[in-house]
Amino acid sequence: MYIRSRREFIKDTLRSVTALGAVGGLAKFGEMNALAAGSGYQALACVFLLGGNDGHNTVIPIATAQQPYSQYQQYRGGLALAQNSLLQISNGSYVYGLHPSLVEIQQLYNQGNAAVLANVGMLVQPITRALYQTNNGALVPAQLFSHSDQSTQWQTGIASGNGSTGWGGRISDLVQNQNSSIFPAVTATSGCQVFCTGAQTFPAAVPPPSSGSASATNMAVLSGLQPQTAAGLQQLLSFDNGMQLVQAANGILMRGSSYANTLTSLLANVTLQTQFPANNPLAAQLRTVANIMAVRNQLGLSRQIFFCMLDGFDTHSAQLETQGPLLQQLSQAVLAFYNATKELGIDGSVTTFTASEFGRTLTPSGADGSDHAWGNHHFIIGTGVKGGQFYGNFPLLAPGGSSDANSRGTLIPTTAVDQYGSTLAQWFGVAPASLPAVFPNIANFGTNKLGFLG
Amino acid sequence: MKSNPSPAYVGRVAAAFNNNGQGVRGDMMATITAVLLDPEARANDNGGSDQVSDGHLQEPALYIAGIVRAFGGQMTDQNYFPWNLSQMGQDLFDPASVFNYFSPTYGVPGTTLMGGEFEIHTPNNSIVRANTMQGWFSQWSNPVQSYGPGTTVDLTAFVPLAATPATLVNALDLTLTHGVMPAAMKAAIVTAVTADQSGSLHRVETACYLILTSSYYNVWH
Repeated sequence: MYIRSRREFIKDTLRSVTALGAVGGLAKFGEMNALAAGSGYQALACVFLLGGNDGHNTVIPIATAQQPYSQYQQYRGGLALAQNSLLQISNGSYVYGLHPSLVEIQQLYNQGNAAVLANVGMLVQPITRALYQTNNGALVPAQLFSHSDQSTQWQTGIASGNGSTGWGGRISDLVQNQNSSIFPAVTATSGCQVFCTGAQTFPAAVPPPSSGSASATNMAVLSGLQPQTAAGLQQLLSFDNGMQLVQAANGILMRGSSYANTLTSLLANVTLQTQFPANNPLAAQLRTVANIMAVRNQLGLSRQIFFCMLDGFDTHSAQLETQGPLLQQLSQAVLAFYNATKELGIDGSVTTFTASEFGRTLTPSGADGSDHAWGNHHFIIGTGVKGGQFYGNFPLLAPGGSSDANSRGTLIPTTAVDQYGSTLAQWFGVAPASLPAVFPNIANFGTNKLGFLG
Repeated sequence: MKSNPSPAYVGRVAAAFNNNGQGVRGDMMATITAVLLDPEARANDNGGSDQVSDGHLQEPALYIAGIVRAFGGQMTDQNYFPWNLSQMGQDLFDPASVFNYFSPTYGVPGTTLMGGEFEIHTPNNSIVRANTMQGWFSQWSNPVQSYGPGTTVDLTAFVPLAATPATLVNALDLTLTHGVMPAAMKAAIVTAVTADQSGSLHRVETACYLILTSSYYNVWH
């Protein structure tokens, strides 16, 4: 079969343009471009809110059949946000309010590009208050309310706390054949936590540039070495004297050098127009993510997973003055990132989602804070999201009520992280039959597809 | 001593904590002695007995301090390392949380082992570490390697040995890797040193760079 050269193809296309008329021909050519640029690419961006974000002050019922604002106000005491300060959103005929800082997320929600997932958390299996109170450890995740354990569990999807790979890494393992080998699928912008670790794949670590820097990243390139030193370094990296940790360190250095060389040279030619807010550590990370996505084709990646973190949510005290600015950072960063994906023409291919190791108690603790709890509300953002509505089951905000594990408004999740992640994974291209490889416990839950991505 | 002690080793340390030999519980000196002098900790003192699960990666602060100490160098509180340490993943005296810099049970990717320090040893941070060595051991003619005003490592004693690379590498082996560096690793460094045409001091710096950036050195075992 005669394979035309690219030049001949273009000449033919231009001829057909003049023959058919400009609009028709160009539209056809445009379609070709859209397929080449957008089709077959998908990315997940996890925004992990470190410390346990207080979901009770993130999404607040105002007028719902289940409960009015006054109930929230009563039980939240000194932590209650004033009703007239809330940013109203609707879920069907019910009215809720977002934290006053979430201006941009309200905007995204109202235009149908953001959804709320209510009351999600780690579960071994669905559980009721009555069953929880039988104190049977086998029925609930290990070490509930412990930062390090719950953070590990959210990232590994393993409720027993013994996972050593993350579900981001396990998804990356499954999509290896859709990616090249010069750069990994998973990129962390703030520390490679276990979410990023696969059984066969390893993440890249790409820190954002220091504020004020014109560089796209703060990625370190191995300093130039004289030939004999470079050769010696290569030799030493190739020795295997049997110790796993030495081998691991060798691999890390080799990947670090290779990834940095690959990425920094490509990013030199990228200039994103979208403005990202300054003095915002999450925005800096998401801008770095956008830059990396801009060179996805040169990296040979059609599937990418990004892991970003924003710290400071463990509000045992000073909650109101601490959470407000952090949620503002989240909201502004997420909108800028969404706009960057539109600039890149891939907004339908990128889904951003929040995560956190747990929610917090409805009942305040001390003068002005809240304690570690369990179920929490999260956001999913993207053009592909069936937004403007809630998923999951919004809980009853009543201490000692049916949604409460104890007496302080510690929400018992009604949706599992497994289900949250499985929905994202399937949108990303993981076949339903492969889900147990990512979420071993998924069969314990009613549905593996929550609907926020269609 | 190692990120993956055997249950028996852990048990012996616990026993020392419970009873220091004189019926006293909670004697920290006895406990720490047990950690450091346990047969499992000392098993590779003479080399050749590395186990697959041995070792622990030196966290940035211990890595830098250890280098200065190994060379008998000097460091004051005017040292220039805080920025490097934070770029290596360990912002000294300012960890992210009360859980310090890393989880002790972090599973090292690609292995069946735990290694907490690896959680902050990202591919990027490992490059920063190597580059710090390159920037530090880089004096043109002064054998005293300074890093900012507060840190000096004097390589004077090694410079004459550069004429015989094997002798130089043996001396650095004693200084840095307690005399048990594998022969193949020594040979590779000797090759690089021999090919180094930039003078005696530069030969010493090359050897230092290769040893200090090696995983063999970074992972204490």
